[in-house]
Amino acid sequence: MSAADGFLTPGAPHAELEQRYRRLLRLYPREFRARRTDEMIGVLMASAADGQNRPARGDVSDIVWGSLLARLRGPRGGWPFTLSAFALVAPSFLVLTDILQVAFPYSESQAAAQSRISVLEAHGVPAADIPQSAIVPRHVGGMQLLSQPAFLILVAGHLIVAAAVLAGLRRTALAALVIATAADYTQWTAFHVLHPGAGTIAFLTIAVFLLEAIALAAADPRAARRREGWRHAFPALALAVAAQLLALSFDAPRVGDMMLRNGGELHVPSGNTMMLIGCVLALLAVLLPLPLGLGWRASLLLAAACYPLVILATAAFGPPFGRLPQTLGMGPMSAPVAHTIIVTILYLPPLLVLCRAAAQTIRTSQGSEPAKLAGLGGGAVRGRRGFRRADAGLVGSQQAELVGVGGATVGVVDDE
Amino acid sequence: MQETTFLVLTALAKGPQHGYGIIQDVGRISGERVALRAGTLYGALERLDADGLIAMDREEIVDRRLRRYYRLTDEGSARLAEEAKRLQESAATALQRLGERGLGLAGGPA
Repeated sequence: MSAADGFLTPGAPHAELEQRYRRLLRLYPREFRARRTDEMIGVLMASAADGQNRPARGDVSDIVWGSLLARLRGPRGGWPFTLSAFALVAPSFLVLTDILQVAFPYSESQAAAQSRISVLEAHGVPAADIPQSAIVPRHVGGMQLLSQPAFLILVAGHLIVAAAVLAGLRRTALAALVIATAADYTQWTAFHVLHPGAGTIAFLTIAVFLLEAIALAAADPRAARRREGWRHAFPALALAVAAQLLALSFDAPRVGDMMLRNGGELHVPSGNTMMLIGCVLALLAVLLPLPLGLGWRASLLLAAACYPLVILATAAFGPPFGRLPQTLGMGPMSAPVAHTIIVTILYLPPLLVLCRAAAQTIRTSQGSEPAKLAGLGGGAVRGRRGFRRADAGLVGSQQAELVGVGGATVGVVDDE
Repeated sequence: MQETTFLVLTALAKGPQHGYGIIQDVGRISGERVALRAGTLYGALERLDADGLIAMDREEIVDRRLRRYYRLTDEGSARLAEEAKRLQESAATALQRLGERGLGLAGGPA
């Protein structure tokens, strides 16, 4: 049974076998290998038969499968960790999109605004029903946002979420999320149907809202502290810039004119670098967790956050968004009504999950202490503690790093 | 709880054991039905360690090989007890119902 004799004699069958097993174990992720190789070699060699010089076939397939699972699982942690890391990073994403909206305003050309009437008519809207406001050139973003109550509530909500996460007040964060979601909804349903791009940020924000709610309900800061949080900031910030770039590319006057001239069909010019960079960045944001060693869960969460972008991209290349109600057999209706329906379709599922998460957190808070902190996470994170004030210092330093990373990400955009 | 997980926890319920010890013990417990291999074992140990059900007990070097011993944590003991009770109840129900149909322990088609 014992492999010790072979180990002591170089060139003996067992030394050869060990070499082969060691080569096989290279399939495991580096972090796993550093902790486990010697131990596993011990087990493998102990299981080896006398005179065996090739790895047993069963062991080979078991190691191949095991290493695959280890890679899929990523370094220690699993869902509770990924969610808690997401809970730390997502508020910075929300606040960043707000800042970008104020910092980078954009305006429609007069021609685009004028020709909008033909598009509305193409949508089946009677000329008499077209409001005067629809033909005035639209200015999106910029300082004017700060005079809109809905936007201010939204920003306040985001800031409260970020602050509450740092302070460890999970229920406050959830409540602020729900309020900010409602404000976001009000703000964007008030916008016009022909503003798919401006809506991108809103939709993306909603997806992040949903994920943040789940993350808050299941967060385990103990696990979050085990790994560096700043790596999680790269994908989140890439996504924020991607969303902003895509929104700008949708709404840029050139693209807007193109879209309008084609009677509502949006044909993105091939030379639209903003669109291209936005798409590349969004893709990068989803794929980045893998080389950074954050695991596939982080990728999955970011992909889920991208779902409105995907919907909008499909809308851009297929029939325009505004025709969706007709496609669903709802008959012709005014553009604002159509837009409200579409936004509701996008908002409703996340809102329901948000309310469920909030209700569950409040309900379980009346139960026993461990259950109180488990929230949505249920059995998986039972007994783990919620955020504590003591974490705030560390979290704060991670947050500070996010700002630095943000600058670097923007730099990448410029280089491309 | 997966059977592998249950068997590994059961092996550790006796006291701290190292990897190869767990493999041998799991074989014994399962009547040589389950032959754990290194990849499966360490996948399970990783998961149990991350979930806080087991912890490293000590390290030894035997014949120039690293042996790491693991033990059940309190949480691990509680989970194992919970699972064992659940399995016992399921098994009792199954046996009782078979008994009602006259197919108890002794009976049953081959």
